[in-house]
Amino acid sequence: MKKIKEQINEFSASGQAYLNAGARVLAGLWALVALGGVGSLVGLIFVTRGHRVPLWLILFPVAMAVTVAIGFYLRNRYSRHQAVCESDHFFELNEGLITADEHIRKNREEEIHRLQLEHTQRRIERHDPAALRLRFPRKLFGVALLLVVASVVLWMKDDSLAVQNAKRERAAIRALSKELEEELSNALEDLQKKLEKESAELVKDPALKKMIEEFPKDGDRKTVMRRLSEIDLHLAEMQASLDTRADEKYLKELAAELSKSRETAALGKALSRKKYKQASKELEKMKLSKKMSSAEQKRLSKMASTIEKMDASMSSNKSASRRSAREMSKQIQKMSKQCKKSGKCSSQCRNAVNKSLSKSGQCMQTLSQRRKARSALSKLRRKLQQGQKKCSSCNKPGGQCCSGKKPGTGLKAGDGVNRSRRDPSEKSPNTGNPEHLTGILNEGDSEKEILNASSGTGSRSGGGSKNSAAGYKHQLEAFVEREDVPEEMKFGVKKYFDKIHRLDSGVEDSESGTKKP
Amino acid sequence: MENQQSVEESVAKFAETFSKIKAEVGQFIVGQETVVEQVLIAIIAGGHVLLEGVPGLGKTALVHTLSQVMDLNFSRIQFTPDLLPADVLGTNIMVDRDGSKAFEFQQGPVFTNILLADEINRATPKTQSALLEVMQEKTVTMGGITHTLEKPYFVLATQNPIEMDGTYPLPEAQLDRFFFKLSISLPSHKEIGLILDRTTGVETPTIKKVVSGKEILEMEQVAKQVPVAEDVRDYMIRLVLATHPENENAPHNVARFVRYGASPRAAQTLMAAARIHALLRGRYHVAVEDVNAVAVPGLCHRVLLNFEGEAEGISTAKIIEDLFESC
Repeated sequence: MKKIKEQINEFSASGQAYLNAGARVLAGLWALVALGGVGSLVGLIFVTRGHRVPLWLILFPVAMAVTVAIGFYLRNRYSRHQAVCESDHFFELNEGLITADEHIRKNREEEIHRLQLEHTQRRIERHDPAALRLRFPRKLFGVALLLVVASVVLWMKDDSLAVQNAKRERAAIRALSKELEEELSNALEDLQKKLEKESAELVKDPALKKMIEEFPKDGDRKTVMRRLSEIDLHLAEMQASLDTRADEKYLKELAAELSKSRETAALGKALSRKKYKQASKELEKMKLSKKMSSAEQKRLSKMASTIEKMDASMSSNKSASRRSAREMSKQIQKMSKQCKKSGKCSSQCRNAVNKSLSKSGQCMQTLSQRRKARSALSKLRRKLQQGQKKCSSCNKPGGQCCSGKKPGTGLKAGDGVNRSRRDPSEKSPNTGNPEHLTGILNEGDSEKEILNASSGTGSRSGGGSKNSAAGYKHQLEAFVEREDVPEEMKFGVKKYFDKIHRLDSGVEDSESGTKKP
Repeated sequence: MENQQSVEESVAKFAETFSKIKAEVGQFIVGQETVVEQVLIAIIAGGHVLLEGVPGLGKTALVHTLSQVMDLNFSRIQFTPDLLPADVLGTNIMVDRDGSKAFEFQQGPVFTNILLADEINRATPKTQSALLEVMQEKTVTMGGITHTLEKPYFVLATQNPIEMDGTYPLPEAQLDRFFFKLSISLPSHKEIGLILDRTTGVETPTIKKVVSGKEILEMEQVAKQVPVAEDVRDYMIRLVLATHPENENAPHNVARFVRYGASPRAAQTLMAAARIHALLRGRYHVAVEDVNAVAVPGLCHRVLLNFEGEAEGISTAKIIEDLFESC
């Protein structure tokens, strides 16, 4: 009986082993399917976007495969009882093995149980548990293999040419932005150092410094270009706030007039050469001494009259220089009047004149500082624009950024050339939108001056002349009909206008294709 | 070894006796082999059988033949609408004993081993219910005195399905007491030929007694020893429970057409009958196929159809067969 039980147990155990082996094989195959499926999916996502699949992502399909394998096996593995039921069903033992297994487990020793065990043992002797071995699922294996191979092929694919170019560009931009940040920081520092204290104060701007310090480092060309444009705009705004054109124009005109007179020639010369500090010193020299000699007064009067004479033609100039010059001129004229009236000038008057001279001198000094500051900002902007050019050229094939490649060195072997025939203005998901750097209207240095036209009755071109002719005709008719005008005058005027009318008619008819005599 | 041989011998004897009975019955009864086998299974299991069929199919002849094969007392009651319970069970009558009058119980026809209750559905419910105690307890209580019926005791009832006028359908309680309900079908051309040969000639087959009551009881004991695995027992229980429309595992047609399902007595029937069926197939254990083989006769009279099921003409046998797959 013991032997029979052992045989039955062995049969059941073998069946379970074979069944579980089959479950493990199936679990492995499904894990492969999961691995291949997830791997292929991930690979497709990256490859369709032109990117190489990062190796670390292999964790996901592997994790999925392991999870599927474990889950499948845990769900489908056979317990002892399940294996007995499956074996019983497979070998068509009509619950004989199930009953025998129960007898063995519960140690039933009645005669009927022994008979049943013997009966079952006889039946299972004809069968081999190996028949429970899993029939290898070829289709499933084929599918798994296909998916795995597909995922391997996709994962081994390198970045597309466009992506490689984009990566190179990003690296170059990153290096360039670092370089630009350093250059601009250094340039700003140099600017502060080289300028005089007053000029340096004018260009001192914490916001600008912050913008340069926070220069983007992520390698995105658009961001870098945007930041460069922002800095350039900021510099342009600073320049605009230091605009000296109106002052310079006025002083240039004034210089020309002042140069004509011997007394004011030195001042005029300094102004014409735009040496405003020197001009300021000249003004200092022109201050009235306590004696207030006639030469001094004459010199001042000359200057005042020149300023006065220019004032009418420069009425549209709203510069500070003009205002201070006018004020100075007023004070001088006031002094002159007083001197003429009373024969001498009061110290009060003298002080007022001197004060106005100092003010004008100060104005010129300020102008000088602003000019220097503007010039320094211009230099900075030029440096910035060089950086913009470099950044733009990173986008072009074979373009050189700051990588230190010399013109004409070409790409190293294996890099290839991007002979894209695509229009650079065409958008591409891989290369991004090419940046069109647009200038800022009215911010550049300009030699032109927009003058407001004086109001008038000019007619517009085109059909306006016809309307004018009709107007003149009406005027003629009104004149001819007047009774107080002599006939001979009427005749002359009428004849004149008739001639004009005939000429006009001839022109009109020629335009319309007919001709009247 | 002796014990084992005796069990083995008992089982062998069981199969042999069964075959002998079946063969002997087959001497007279033509065809109906499945019915004969199932009647014998019911008898061995100690259960009662309700035979249903149109008149003239040999229901009474079958029971009569069985009684001849088994060395058992046989009684027949022809149920009629005017039959009284006392006509079935017996009655107390006054007798003259030693000059004094006393009541003496006169046993009715139920006091036998095999009772043929012919056309049971013709009797009134009152008379039908008189059989309830007899079938379940195998006793008769009259005037406060319980009389035990001799074992083995079987009631083989017949009913005619087409005679609806003047019939009283058996109540559910009584139906549930029948072990099996078997339908007897019309014999084939060849079988009718054999019937004619055996019953209308000068010589009719002689039926020998091949089994005694004691042997029947022994066979019952042998059958009870057959082990039933837990899986098979669970299957049996699921099968019975699935006949109830409110059960969560009940299939759609049960939920739709069944009013009430089988009772635990049905599970007892299946267990007992499946054991005998297993022994007949040479097995020492009960298999699912044994349960399926006895499920229809054991459950069909216990599964009651609702109005929709009856109106649709749904077969309870089909409903039960459909349960084999779902359980």
